[in-house]
Formats: sequence, C-alpha cells, structure tokens
Amino acid sequence: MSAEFTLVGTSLRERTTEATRDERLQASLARAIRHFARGREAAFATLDDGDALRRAARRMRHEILADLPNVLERFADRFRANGGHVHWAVDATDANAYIAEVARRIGARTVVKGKSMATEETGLNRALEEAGCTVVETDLGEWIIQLAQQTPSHIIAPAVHLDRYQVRDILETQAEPGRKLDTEPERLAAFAREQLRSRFLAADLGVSGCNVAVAETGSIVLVENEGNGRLCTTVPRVHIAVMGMERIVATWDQLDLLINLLARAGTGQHLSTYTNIITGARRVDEADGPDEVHVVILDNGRSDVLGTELHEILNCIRCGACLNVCPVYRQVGGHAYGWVYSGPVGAVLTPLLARREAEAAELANASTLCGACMDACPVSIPIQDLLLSLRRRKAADAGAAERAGWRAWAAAWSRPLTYRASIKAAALGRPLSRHAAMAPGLRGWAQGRTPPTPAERSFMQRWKAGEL
Amino acid sequence: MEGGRAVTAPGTETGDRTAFLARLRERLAGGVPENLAHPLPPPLDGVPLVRSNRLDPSDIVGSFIRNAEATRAVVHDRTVADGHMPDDLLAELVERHVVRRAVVSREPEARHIGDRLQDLGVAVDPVSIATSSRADLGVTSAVAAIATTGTLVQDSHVVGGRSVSLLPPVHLCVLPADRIVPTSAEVLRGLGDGRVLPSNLVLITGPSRSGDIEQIMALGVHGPLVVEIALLRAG
Repeated sequence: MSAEFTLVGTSLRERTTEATRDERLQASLARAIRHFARGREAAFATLDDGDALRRAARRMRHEILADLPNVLERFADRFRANGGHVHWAVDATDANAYIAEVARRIGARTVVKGKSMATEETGLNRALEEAGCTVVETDLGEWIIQLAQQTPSHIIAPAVHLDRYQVRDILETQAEPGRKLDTEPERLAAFAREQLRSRFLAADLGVSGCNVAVAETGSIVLVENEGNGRLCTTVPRVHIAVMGMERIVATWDQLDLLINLLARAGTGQHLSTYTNIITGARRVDEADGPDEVHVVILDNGRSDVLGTELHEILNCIRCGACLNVCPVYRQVGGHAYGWVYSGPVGAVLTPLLARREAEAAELANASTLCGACMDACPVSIPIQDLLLSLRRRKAADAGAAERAGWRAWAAAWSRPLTYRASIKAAALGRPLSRHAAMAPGLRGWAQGRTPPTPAERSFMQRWKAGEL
Repeated sequence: MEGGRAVTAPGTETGDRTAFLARLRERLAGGVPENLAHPLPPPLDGVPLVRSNRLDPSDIVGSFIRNAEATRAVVHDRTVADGHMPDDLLAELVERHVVRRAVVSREPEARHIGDRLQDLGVAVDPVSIATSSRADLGVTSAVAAIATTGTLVQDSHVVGGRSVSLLPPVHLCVLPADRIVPTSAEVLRGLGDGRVLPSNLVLITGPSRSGDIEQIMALGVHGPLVVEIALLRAG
C-alpha cells in the first residue's frame, strides 16, 4: 500500500485549481498555517536577537557544506568506531536495496517507521513491502495518511489537509467492527497509542530519518514530539537511520544553535519534546536499545546541486516554516506541489531531486517571489533567489518562437513610434480583446489572466486634446 | 555526565565511499557562486549562544519550574534535608495515578524510590521493554536539567535503559535542584570533548504530544501522558 504522487500525469494548474475549490481543505489549511506561523513568531520573540542567530546559522551551514566531504568522512569514521554500520547510497534504489537486504538478513516481518522525508523521497515503504515486510508509519500524521493512501501535505505535519472528522473516518477503519470513535483529537491520539503499541512491540526493524548528524562524535540527532521516534530507535533490535547527506554539522556547538532554531521555526516550541541523541548500539549493561545501528548516507541528486547557484537549498533543515508564511502554499496546500516536498522549499527541491525535470520545472512559478520564506527561514536561505534561478533555467529552455515573440515585443515598446502604433492597433482591435486569450499559442499563458481592455482613446491623445 | 561503556567492535562499511566523496569534492572544487541579491553574512567568531528572556539568571531554579510547567510537566518543588523525595508526595502520586506496577532506573535517587514503592505495595519489576510496557509508572533521575526550556536530560548509561522514561503512561523524575543548568549550551556544547558518549542521551521537554489533528495539542501519544518532576532543593 503506497500512495501515489501526482507530479506526473497532472499539471500544476490542474492541481492548484482543485485545491482552491476544496473548501474543506481551505479551512484546514487556514487553521494550520495560522497556528504554526503564530507559534514561530512567539518563540522567536523570546530570543534576544533571533534574526542575528538566523544569519549566523546561514553562515554556519555554508561553512559546513563547503567542507562537506571531510565532515562526512569524520562522521562515518566515528559512527563506525561506535559500532555502527555505514552505507553510502548514491540514489534511492541503492538505499532501498541496502535496507531491504538488512530486513531480509534479520528476517524482519514488521518494520516500524519514524517520520522521515528522506524515505518518502526514496519510496522506501514500497521497496520494503515488495520485500515482504509490513511497514507501519508510527507518527500520528504519517499513520493517518498511510491508512488513507495519501502523501504528506506538509513537511512537519503530514495530515494537515484533513480535519478531525476525516481523521476519525480513516482511523475507524482500524477499529474492531462496530466500534465508533470520538472526533476529539486527544481520544483519537489515544486510539493511535493503543493500536500502535503492539506493532512497536512486534517490530524487528525500526527505520528513522536523521534531523542532524554530528560528525565529531558520530551521533544521530532525532527531534520529535510523540515519542514514536524514541520507540522506533529503542524497541526493535535493529535501527536504520536514513540521512540526506547534507543533514550534518561538524560540532556540538553547531548542533546547539541549529536544534534551538529548528524547534522554534517548525512548531514554535523552544525545544522539541524529545531530542534523541544516538551514538552507537546499546551497550552490554543496558536493558534495552537496538543491538545494531545503521546509517544510510543518501546522495540521490544532492551532489548535482553542490556548487551551483542553487547550492544553498542544501542548507535546509526541513522545519516547514517557509510553507506557513508562503502566500501560495497558504492557498493551495502541499498536494498541489505534486511530490514529497511542498511550499517554497519544495518548489526548489522537487525539480532537483524528483528526477522528473519536465514536470517539475513549472513549480518555480508557484511563488510570488515576496521573500517571506527567507524571512521565516531559520537558516536564512534566500529561497526567492533560488526560485528566480530556476525560472531563468526554464526560460533558457523555452522555445525559440516564444523567445522571438518576447524580443519583438520588447523592441516595439522600446521606441515611441512603434509603441504608439501598437496602442492604436490595440484600441482598434478593442472589441476583440476579450478573445485575445483564445489566440493560438497564447492560450496557456493567458489562462487565469484577464486581458486588459484598451481605452478608446489613449492618455496621450486625451492630454493633447486638452481633456485632462 | 558519565561516559558510556566503550564499544568493542567497529561497524561495517558498504557502498563506495571514495567515489561518493570524490564526486562531492569535484562539485565543490570551483567554489559556490556568490548571491549578489543577498550576500552571505561575514565569517563567524565561534557559534553564537542562544539567549532568551525565558531565563532569569538570578533564579535558575524558578526559571526551570516556570518553563517546565509551560510544557505541561507537573513540578513538585520541595526542600528536603535528607536528599530524598518525601514519602507523602510519593504516596499521593501512587494514589493519583493508580500505580500497581512500576519500573525504576538504576540511578541511586530512583532506586531509593523503588524501595519506598514496594513499601506502598507497588510491584517493582526489573527493567526491560516488556516490564516497562506493562508498568503504570517509570521512575528515573536526570543527569541535568535545562532551565530555559524546562528540559530533563537522561543518559542511557546512567539510567540503564531507555524504556523507563518512555513506555509507562506516567514518568516520575527525581531531580536534585543543583543539576539544573541555564541553557542547552551547558549540556550540548561539551559533548565533543573526547568522552565516549552513551548510546542514548535524550532531552525530554514535557509529556509526549501530537498536534497532527487540527493542530490541537493531544498529550500522551506514544510516550508518557504525564511527567511528574520531584524537584528537590537541599534544606
């Protein structure tokens, strides 16, 4: 049971149209973004100088990425010295094959997962299901969308598009026949606890993401609120963390700054409920914890971004703050972006990581370039500049006819004579202007835009006639 | 914090590290294009500390209590002469949470509570995933606590197991007040000083929660629903 992404097979316009017409989605989105955006503002307001910390974090992330090969090497060496197993995965297939092989070797039947965007990106669930495992998402939001066979619509709140009645209906499919569930969120959460606890206890393998790795001690840091992440890394006898290769810092000083910013930007907490620091497997005198710990260091298209004008997107720590302030995301929600990552960061990452360049390229248009994303970003990524770069790339690929057309327009409107002639022609063609959008070649561009109706007489004509 | 016990055998490595990193080095060789619209901030002189108005430097313990309560933890602020949690408080908690079975960490503060619990007729089991999952109460201490965020810090080597503070519906932490430090920096920034880290170091900030349904906070999803902190000041 894996949910399908819609990037291929539908257009951005189709997806956004569907989203803006869905009143229930609009209500859920409005509620969620208000909650998250206010939480972030309130949490940052308690800091002495939050903006200075965000700027410092940008510089810090830049320096880590500039030295990424050495930082990763130090991390891998330390991780192994702690007894952990390291796998370097060049792409999704490579990562999934490694994890499926571990599952096969240990005879894993049930796999419990903590929330991980990287494994959404690699499609790990399907790979494990094909290997004969039952995969259970254990983050409440992830479990809900797994049961509904949907995809995440927000980086930190995957089921943000659903209201409590929809959630109740989805969870009720898991209850014994005849049992009715309440719509009270606390009761629904209690139902999830009751249902998932036995899955945890039966699980052979736990899979998590990695919020941040720390090179100097070879540690994995996971932040979460529910406790499912701690359970996934405590109860099963094998734990595998899947880490996007850029999700790393060199030192604990850096981790301290980043973890403080992450929680405040994401959920408006000062620290997440659990900051879980994992360094190797359980030691001999400990009562619990996994016997084996693995990390899969994932490239999957990230190295193509290094050193390009889009390099800074690799600074992202996946807090979701840019989604909550984006005037486009606020209207259309996450599914309109068609793939794993949504919002401003998704509009940049999808063309880079989804391996569907043709379909993903139009996502760069899903932005007003207002820059609210950069102002909210805990590591100050200039996302609007990256979106502009993507638009430039797309424009460079535009057809010769379109480019010739725009060049002719620019030339005509740069000279008074041809400019006036075009205005006169427009005034004469006034009765036709409403139909301009129907002209061949213009249809796609004109959709959703209202063509201006030229005035009968231009401003210059009226000025000269002394009417003004 | 004490270090964890050393690891015996290093782990394996698969995939092609050399090729993986060579590709990264090649991509980075030409540097990173400058962003003229939003230039990079200047180089840092160290990583800045996170300072917040949630900390009153003249009252670290008071700050901890305020901030822990803001996360919905319950704090019992007691001044004690013998360093132990008062018996009446323990009896009250056992009654309130209807505790019949408990698991207790190997920290001395918690073992003392284990003895008292048995006096109150509570069954105290040796720690394992199975016993923690059946227990009504898990008792630990903490190696440190963070005032600015109301956070408890637990070291798996000291606790002896992670499930005590995770699986039972109620977590009781016995916290000597002198372990409270002002910020996360005092806990995290020293971790790279060469000690062997424990297999698990966890920062616990309030009871387990989820906002996944309509962003309404639901307490106690997979971890404890209730975190009781017996904060002991020396009298």
